[in-house]
Amino acid sequence: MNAPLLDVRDAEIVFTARRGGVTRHIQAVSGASISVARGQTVGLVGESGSGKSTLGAAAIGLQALDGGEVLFDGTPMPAEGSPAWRTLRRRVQVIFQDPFSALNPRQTIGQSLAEPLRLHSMGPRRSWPDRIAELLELVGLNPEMARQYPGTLSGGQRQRVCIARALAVEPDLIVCDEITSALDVSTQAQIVALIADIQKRMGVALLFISHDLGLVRAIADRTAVMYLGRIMEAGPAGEVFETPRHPYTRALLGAAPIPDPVLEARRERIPLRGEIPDPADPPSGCRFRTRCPHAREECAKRTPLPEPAGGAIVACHFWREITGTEDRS
Amino acid sequence: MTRLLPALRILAIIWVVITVVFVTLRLTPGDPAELLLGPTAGRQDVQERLADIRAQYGLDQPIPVQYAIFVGNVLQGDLGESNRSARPVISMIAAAAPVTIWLIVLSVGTAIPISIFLGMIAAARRGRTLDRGIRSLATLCMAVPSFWLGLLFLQWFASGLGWFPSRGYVAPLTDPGGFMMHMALPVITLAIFLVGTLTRFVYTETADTLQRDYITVSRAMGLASRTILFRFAAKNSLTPLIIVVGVEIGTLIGGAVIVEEVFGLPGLGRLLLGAVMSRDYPVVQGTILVITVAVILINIAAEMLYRYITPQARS
Repeated sequence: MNAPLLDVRDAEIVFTARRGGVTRHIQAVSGASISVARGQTVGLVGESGSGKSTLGAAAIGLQALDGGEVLFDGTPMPAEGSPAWRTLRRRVQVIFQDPFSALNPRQTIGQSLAEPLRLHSMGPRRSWPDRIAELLELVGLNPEMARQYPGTLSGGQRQRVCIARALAVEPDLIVCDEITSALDVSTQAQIVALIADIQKRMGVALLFISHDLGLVRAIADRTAVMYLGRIMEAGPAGEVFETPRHPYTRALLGAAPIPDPVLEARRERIPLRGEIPDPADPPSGCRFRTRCPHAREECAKRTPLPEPAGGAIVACHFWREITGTEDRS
Repeated sequence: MTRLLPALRILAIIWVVITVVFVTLRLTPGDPAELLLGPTAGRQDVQERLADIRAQYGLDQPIPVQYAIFVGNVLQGDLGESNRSARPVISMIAAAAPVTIWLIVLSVGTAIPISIFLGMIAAARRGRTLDRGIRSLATLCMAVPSFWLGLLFLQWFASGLGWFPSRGYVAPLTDPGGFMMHMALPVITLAIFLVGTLTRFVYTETADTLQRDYITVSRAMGLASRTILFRFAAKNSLTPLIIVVGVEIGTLIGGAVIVEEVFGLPGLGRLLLGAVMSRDYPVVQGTILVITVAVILINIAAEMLYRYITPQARS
């Protein structure tokens, strides 16, 4: 029971892109580890291009690894199409960013929801209509909606259907890949509240991928911060957000607005300079050094390995000095 | 009122087409009477005989009067008689139409399964060698001119190897075997062009569908890739094919004119081409009118079929 539900160890994922006769190797994920315990919500944050979605896809076996391993419930990820793979499919589910692309336009909502029930033989066929109605109610939709096509639904309603579809097979883990970023702000809050509520009631574990720190802070038990394919800092959400240690986390938190105007006016800002570097040609040593205000010669030479820092882990050579000097000033 | 609008639009299209044909025919150099008279046109009583012919076919009337008579007859369902053979245009069309219909039906029937197969394979193997090969082939099929390909086929398989007859036509009911032999080369020629267009279309649609998140979700739920390709991707990317085939019918009839001429098939295309050459005004006008109506009806049918098949397009 001590083994985490999901354990990604030193994942390496390299994409090969050929353009104009030049082959480029894009290191989407390099040596990233992340684990999710049963019933836990783990937030995975980072800028676009940091490899967080790729890591999320790898966590449920949708993306092959070029190195490292994914253990689900202590067992390595089975090969696609094998019987073990089929069984695993019931236990992990995924919800994507764009609810307009995530539902088959030629299937009614009911048909879309029946699909997972059919694939995993969830009860007798005659029980499905009731189950579908129950699922729709669970996500706050009218059961009558089962007869409609996705074309008649709003983005928020579609995302609720996607959540219902993920819940249909009572999974152990749901990967939520930027599930709110295609929605407008008021809908975002409702969807996050819904998923948080369902998580609590059903005890399903979530890997919540987002670039929105506020959302992650609101929902996650643990948080991992990713940059250019590497985990920069990971730990209990409270600790990562209250006492950020890695310069990148500190910069990210500096960029996110604080709702309290007094705190907002008082806080220090460390601007994040420049753009995220080309993942086909990442910086040597520490990947963040080209944008880090504290970068030194040492950072280009040695890759910082994640080391324990309080209840968290931090991948930075100088986090002690940096937190010391900045917090004193 | 709104129900009447589509019907009015169709009538307007037909009117524009027959008017344009009427006017262009009369702007084209060449006197039908002189052409009809042929080599004897040099004789002394020629002016008199030309006047007779013109009077016989109403060609002596002012053009606006000719137009009014033509439109009046069309409205009564009368397409007139051929200047050359004096046969009713409608019966000439009725005799030629089955050849063209067979040619098009067989070409479409051959091209669709091949295009679906090639397009879907290419989309499933996107970016690989097979995909690039198929798409290059499709472009080649579109780029090769039908008349040239038709002549090559004639030279290789008809004259050279003697596998197929080079010209002519046999009705399918008279001699099914002979019908197939006569139709093989024309159908392949026309189908090759169509395979090029349709393969590219199936490829684009399928590749687009395969990128959708619901495909990834199905895969994540444990559906096998092959099942996904044949169940979802096929259904979602092939239904628009109905519309495309409807739109391509016009192009196909254009292609059929050339193919019929090359292979000597007595279809609508050859009838039209011959009539244009001899300035047989009623035959040209009648044939174009029938083709126009057929293209419009096929497009309407394609749209209705599409709406029937895709429930979400109905609401």
